Amino acid sequence: MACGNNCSCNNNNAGNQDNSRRDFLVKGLIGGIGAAFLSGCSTNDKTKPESGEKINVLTHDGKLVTVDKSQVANFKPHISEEDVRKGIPGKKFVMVIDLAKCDGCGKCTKACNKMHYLPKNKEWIEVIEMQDSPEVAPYYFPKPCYHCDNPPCTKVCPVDATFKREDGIVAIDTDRCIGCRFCMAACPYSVRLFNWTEPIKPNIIETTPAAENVFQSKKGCVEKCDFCPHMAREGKLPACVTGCPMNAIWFGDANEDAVTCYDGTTTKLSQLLEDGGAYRFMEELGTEPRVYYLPPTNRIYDAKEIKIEKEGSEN
Amino acid sequence: MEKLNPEIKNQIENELLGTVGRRYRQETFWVIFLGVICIGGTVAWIIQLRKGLGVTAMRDYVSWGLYISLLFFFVGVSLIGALVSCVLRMSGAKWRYPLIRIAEAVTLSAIFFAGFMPVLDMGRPERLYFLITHGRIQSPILWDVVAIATYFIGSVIYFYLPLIPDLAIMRDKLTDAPMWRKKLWRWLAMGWEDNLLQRRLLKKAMLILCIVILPVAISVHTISAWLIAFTLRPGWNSTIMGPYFVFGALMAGTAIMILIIAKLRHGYRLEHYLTPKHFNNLAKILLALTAFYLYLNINKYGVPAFKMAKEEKAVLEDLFYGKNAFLFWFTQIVGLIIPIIILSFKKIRQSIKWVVAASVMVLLGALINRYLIVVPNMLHPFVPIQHAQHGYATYNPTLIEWTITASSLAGFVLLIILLFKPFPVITMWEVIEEVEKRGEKEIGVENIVNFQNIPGHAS
Amino acid sequence: MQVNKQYIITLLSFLLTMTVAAQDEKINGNIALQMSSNDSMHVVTATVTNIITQLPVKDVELTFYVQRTFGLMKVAEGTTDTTGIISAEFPLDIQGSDSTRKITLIAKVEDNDVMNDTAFQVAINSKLIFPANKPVPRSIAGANAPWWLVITFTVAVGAVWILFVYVLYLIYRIRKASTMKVISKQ
Repeated sequence: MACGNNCSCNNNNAGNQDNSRRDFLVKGLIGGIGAAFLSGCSTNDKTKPESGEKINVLTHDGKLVTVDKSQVANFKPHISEEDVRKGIPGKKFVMVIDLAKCDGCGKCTKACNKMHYLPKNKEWIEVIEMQDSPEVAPYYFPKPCYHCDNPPCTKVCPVDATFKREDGIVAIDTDRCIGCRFCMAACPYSVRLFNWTEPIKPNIIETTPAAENVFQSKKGCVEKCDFCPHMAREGKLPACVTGCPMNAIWFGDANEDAVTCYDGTTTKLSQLLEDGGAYRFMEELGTEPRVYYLPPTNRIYDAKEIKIEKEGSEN
Repeated sequence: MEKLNPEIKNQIENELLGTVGRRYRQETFWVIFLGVICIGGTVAWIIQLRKGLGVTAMRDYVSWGLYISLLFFFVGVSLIGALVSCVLRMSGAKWRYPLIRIAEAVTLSAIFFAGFMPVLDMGRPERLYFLITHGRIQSPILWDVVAIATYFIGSVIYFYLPLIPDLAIMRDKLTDAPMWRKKLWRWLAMGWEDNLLQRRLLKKAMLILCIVILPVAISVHTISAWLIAFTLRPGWNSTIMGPYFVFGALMAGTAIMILIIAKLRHGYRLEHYLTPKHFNNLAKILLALTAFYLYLNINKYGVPAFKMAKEEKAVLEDLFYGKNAFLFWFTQIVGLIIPIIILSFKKIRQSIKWVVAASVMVLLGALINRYLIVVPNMLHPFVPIQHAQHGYATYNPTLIEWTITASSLAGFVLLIILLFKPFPVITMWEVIEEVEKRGEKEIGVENIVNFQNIPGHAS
Repeated sequence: MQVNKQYIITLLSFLLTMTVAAQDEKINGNIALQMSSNDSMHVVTATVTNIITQLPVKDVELTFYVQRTFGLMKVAEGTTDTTGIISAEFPLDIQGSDSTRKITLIAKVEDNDVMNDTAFQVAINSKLIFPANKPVPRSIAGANAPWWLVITFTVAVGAVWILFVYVLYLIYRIRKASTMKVISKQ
C-alpha cells in the first residue's frame, strides 16, 4: 500500500517498463523465492561449505532474506556503482512540505529512523519550531535534506564522496567519505550528521552500492537524509511521506510534474506550488533546494501550543 | 669593508659551530619534557583512532574544534619563513641574515604540523590516499593539501640552500666528528668549494626560490582561510577572511620568532649575533602588524556589528557579551591593544624583556583568536539549534583533545629544537660575507670582528 | 468541439479477468476508451458495456487517473448516461511519464452499486516536451571540474613545481661545478 493505490494495471506502467523488467529478472534471481533459489545455489557453490551462521540480507526491494553466511556473495547487486552515481533515469525528485498541515507529531522522524535503522538521537528529518519574529505565530518546520541543485556540500567535498545525481538527489558514498566534515561546515541548513563513534549495526547485509544503502551509518563518515532512493527505485514513497498521517509531506517527480502524499493522493506539482504560495527555505542563499514549503496559513492545529526552545539552551 | 682577518673568520665559524651537537642542560630538559608530552599525545591519538572522534567534544554542530583551530595557527606561523626570507629580502633589510635559518626552521616545523592536523581531525585517516586517487580539484581541501605539500617541499629546499656552504664549512672543520656524520655532510655539501660559478648558481637558486615561495606561502594561508570563508555560515561568509588570516599569521609568526631568538640568544650564547637591533626591528614589524590586525578586526567585527543582521547577530552577541566574551575581549585588549601601546614607545621597544612580554601577549591572543574564529560560529548556524542532545550545543574540549593539542604544540617546539641541533643556528657564510661587505652595524651583529671581545666559551 | 486526433482504443482484456468478482448481483463491465483532444483539453470518451450481454451500462461512476511514479493522479470523473457513454475533459498540460511522452490514462470503477470494480487503461502522448535529465555539468558542485579550473590549477601548481625542479637542477650544477674544478686542477 505504500504507493498509495490499489490499481491492478500498475505493472504495465510504461514509464517503468525497463526497470520493471530488470527488477523482475533480479527478483527471480535473488529475492522472494528464497528456498528454491538457495537450493539452486548450493549445487553451484560446492566449494563453499555452510558455515552454519545465519545472516539477514536486505534485498533491493526491501525484503529481508535469512541465508547462510557463505551464500552472501551470491547476492549480486541489481544496480552498479555507476547507476548509483548517475541516479534513477528520467526522474527528478522533489518534495513539498505543507506547514499548515504539520502538527509537529514527529512521526516522519520515527518512520525515517525505522527505515534507516537510526538510533533515537539521530534525526535525518528534524521537526523544529520556527518563529520568524516575536509577534507572529510559531509553526512546526520539518527539515530534511534539501537536495539543493546548487549544493554547497558537494562543492567542497575533496573526494567526490557526496555528489549530485541526475535525478536531483545529493547522495553520500560512505565507502568514499574520509570524514573531513567540510560538507557539514558548508551546509547552511545543518542537516548533516557525523558518526562520531561506531554506530550500532542492524543484523543485515546490503548488496547495493554504499550510496544507496538503507543503513548508511559508518564510523567516521557523514550521513544525512537521502530521499530514500532504494524506495524510489521500487516506485515507493520515502519513509517520512508514508509516515506522515497529516498528509503534510508530498514527494514526487518534477519531470512528470506530480507529487504524492501519505494517503496516495497525487496532485500536480506546479498547481500545488502555485495555489499554495510555495517558497523554498532561505532562497537568498542561492542553494536552490529541491524541497518546497507551503506557508502555515489556515493551520489545522493550535499555534499557541508551540513552545519555542531558547537557542543553545540545554537540559 | 675589507676582507676579514682569516683568524677572525675562523673564530666566528668556531663560535657558531659550537652549538652543533652540543648538549645544553636546559635544552635537554626541554627535549625530554616536550618528548613526554608528545608521547602522551600519541597515546591519546591511538585512543582516538580506536574509539573514533567521539572521544573529542566535537559534535554535529561544532564539527570542527581545536584541531582545525590549531591547523590555522600552524599554517599561520609557517608564514614567518616567507616574511624573513622574502619580504625582508625584497625590502633590502640586511639585518635579516642572522635570522634566516631560524625563521626557516620555524616554518618547516609549523608547516609539518599544519599538514598533520587535518589527519588528526579526519574521521577516516586510513582513507587519506583517496585525496590522490579520487581528488576533486574543486574542493578547497585539495588546494590546501597541495599548497601545504608544495610549501613544505619549498621550505625544505629553502632550508637546505643556504645550508650548503655551511655544510662545507662543517665538512672541512669538524674533522673529529663520527664517520657517518662526516659522510653525510660531505654528501649534503654538494662539493661546495666556494668558487665563483657555485656562488652564482647558489645566489640564483635562492633568488628564484625567494620569488616562488612568497605566493605559495600566501596561498597556503589564504586557502586555509577559504576553508571557512567558502561556507554559507554567518560570521564565516565574509570576504575579509583571506587577508585577515594572512596578516594574523604574520603577526603570530613574528611573535614566535621574537620568543625563539630571545631563547636562543641566551641559551646558545648568541648575544653577538642576535642583538637588540633584531629585537627592535622585529618589534617594529610586530607593532605594524598588530596595528594592522586591529584594523582588520574592526572591519571584521565592526562592520557586521553596525548592521546587526539577524544571522550575524547571534554570533556577535556571543562574542561581545555572551559565553565567549572573555576570550574575545582578551584577544582584542591583551592580544592587540596593550601590545600596540607597549611597542609604541621607543624605549620599550629597545628592551628585549618588554618586547618578549608583548610577543607572549600577541601569541596568546593569536592562539585564542583561532579558536574564536572556528568555534563560536559553528554554535550559531542559520537554523537555530533546538532539541540538542546533551553536549551537542556546547563545546568543552575533552582531555584527549587537550592532550593532542598540547602535544602538537609541544611537537612543534621540539621539531624546531631538533632542527637547530645538527646545524649552526646562524647562517655562517652569509653573515661573514655581509659583514665583510657592509659592516657589523647593518647586519645587526655586535663585536664579532673584534677578536678580543668574544667570550671564549666556544673555543 | 473540434476533434484533432483520434487514438486507437487500447483494451487489456487480461486485466478484466483479474477483476472478475464472485458477487452475483453485480455485473462485470467492459470499458472502451477513446481519446481525442481539442485546443485546450484532452477529451476522453468511455463506453461502458456489460461484458456478457454487450449492452451499455448506465449510472456507472467512472474516475479517470493518470499514472504517475508514486500514485494515480485524478484528472476527471463522471457518470455514464443511458447509452453507457461518458465524456470527460482534462487539461493538455499533463506531462508524460518519461521521454517517450507517454501518458497512461486509467479509467476506474470504484465502489459501484451496479458494477464490480474494474480498471482499463489507454496510452496517449503528451504534447509537452519531457524535461530531459542532463548529466551533471562540469562545475564546482559537480564531479568534474570546469576546464578553466583544471587549467588554472595545473598551470599554477605546475609552474611552482617546475621552478622547484629547476632549483634542484641548479643544486646539481653546483655539484658539477665542483668536480669540474677538481679536474681542471689536475
